[in-house]
Amino acid sequence: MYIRTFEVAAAVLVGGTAAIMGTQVFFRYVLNDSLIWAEELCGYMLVWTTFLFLGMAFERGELVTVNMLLSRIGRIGGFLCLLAGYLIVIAFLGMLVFYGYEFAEFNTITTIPAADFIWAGLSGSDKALNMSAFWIYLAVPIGCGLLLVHVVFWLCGRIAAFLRGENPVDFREYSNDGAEV
Amino acid sequence: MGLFLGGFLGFLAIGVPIALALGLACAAYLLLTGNADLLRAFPQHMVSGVDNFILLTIPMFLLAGNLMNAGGITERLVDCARAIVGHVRGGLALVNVVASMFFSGISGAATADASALGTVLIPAMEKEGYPTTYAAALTAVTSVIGPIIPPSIAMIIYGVLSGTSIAKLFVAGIVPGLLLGFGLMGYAYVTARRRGHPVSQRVSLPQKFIATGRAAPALMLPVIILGGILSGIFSPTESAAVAVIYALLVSSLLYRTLRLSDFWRTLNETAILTAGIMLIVAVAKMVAFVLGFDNVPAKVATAMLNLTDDPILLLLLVNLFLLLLGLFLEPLAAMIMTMPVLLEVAKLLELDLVHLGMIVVLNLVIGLATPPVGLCLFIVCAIGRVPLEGVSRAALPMLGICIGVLLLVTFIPGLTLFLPSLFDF
Repeated sequence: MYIRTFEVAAAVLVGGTAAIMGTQVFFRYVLNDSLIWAEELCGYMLVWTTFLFLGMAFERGELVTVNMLLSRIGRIGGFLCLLAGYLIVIAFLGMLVFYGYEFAEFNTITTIPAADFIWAGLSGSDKALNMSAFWIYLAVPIGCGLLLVHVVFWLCGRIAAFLRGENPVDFREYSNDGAEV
Repeated sequence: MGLFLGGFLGFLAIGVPIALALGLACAAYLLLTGNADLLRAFPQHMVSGVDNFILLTIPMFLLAGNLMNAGGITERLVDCARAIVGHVRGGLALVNVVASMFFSGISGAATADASALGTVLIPAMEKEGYPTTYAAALTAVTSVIGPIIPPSIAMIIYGVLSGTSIAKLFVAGIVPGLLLGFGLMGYAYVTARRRGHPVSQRVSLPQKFIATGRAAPALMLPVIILGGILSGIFSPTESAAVAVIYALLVSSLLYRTLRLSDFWRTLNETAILTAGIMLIVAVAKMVAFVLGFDNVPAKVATAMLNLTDDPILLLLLVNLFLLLLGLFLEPLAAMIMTMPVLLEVAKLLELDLVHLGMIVVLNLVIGLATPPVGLCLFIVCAIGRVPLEGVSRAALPMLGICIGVLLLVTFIPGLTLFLPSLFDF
């Protein structure tokens, strides 16, 4: 269910971006009528894609980590370093959630011009929709919050592994399943 | 500066992901220098770093590459390369290089190149009797061509960070990319002669045509991307969207290998990869902000100039520094950390930013195929089930060729700047 939600979000955000930009090229060259809202809207979709999928990216090992040192300092030392490091990460993400929400709320009064253009195009009226920029900036607290949850669960798993007597540090020197660089 | 770097390396050492370690180092710097209220600006800097029309090319090029790959183009490209160079001594090694060059025009990432071609070519080379370490090393080093020949994610991010035209950077990459390819082909051929590497079966002429024809639609993709940008029909961002649509049409209608479930999975995959890359981009503004606090980049640049005012020595110094950095860091993070200083150096040396971009990207991507930390090297070791040490040793002479090309690119600006100068951007 949780993963399914992300699949739908990915289809809407990534597939949607490709579709909108493709349509824009078509409109400009075939119909001679540029879509003035397309660039702006796609930019916001990129913001949402970035933040929404941070948790999944972490889960899948796409956030590149260097374990060179950590896997060489023994089981207990490695565990303590990992614990300390990720507790700081959790605090940092908590801060981003807090300030991120504050920043989104601060932007409630700003409106999204693209939404007005789309609305005007659809309804034919000149009345502005006045959709708040809050909805764009909300991506930061939500995305960082999701990442926070993933990190907490992952850390709990590592602690459990340590208590079972395993080495909590990944033995791969460099954990990555193919981040694209 | 020292505080920031120390924090970054400290967090990295205890296993924090690189992108978060950069952000944490910024936060630590602000906290310890009594600027805690600036932490509030973090989310704003992150959003403004990401919300950029040019950066939209990243998910689009990723999607186009993933769609092509899901549509089974890797094998078609390998078959086509085999038809062209397979019958020469060391044929399959040459196929490896040529297929890498083809693949570079479709994907913008070295790691995608290494994993897609590695799974096909490492077992194939092993079967023909090449040492596995050699096959793996060649795959890792040739994948470095990926971010040099356009499209290229590393170039896009360089363009955004330095304010350079993506179109120019893309065109500038063609000659250095070909140089790398031909250099490595020369190496593979000479090695094959010396060590008596096998010759693949000669492919008959009609079969050659068939193999080329089967790969042709995929090979048209880079032509469409570059042609569209150069003729001014579409912007780089739009070209990426057109590439997606083209890739979708080719792999679903023409090759008929892409199923709906593949498409669904590809979209999800692309979103996750995008998030992983964009997080680094999101912290870039914060890093530049923190580094710029005491005007550090300008100071470092002046200090370098005080060391020597000979431009040749200075460029060598820049190369050496970037190569060393690339040994330990992943290219995007390394680029984000050094960009503010490099831009100052370029200003003092009056270096063209397109030329600088090629130098920076080439240096840092070479690090993808070097130990101790080289993503492409790790990928091929996992595919070939061979130890890092052996592959690294086999990669050493090939890396020498890459560094040779790097020096040529550094000291002959024409190699990068001539092609872009032909077009009026």
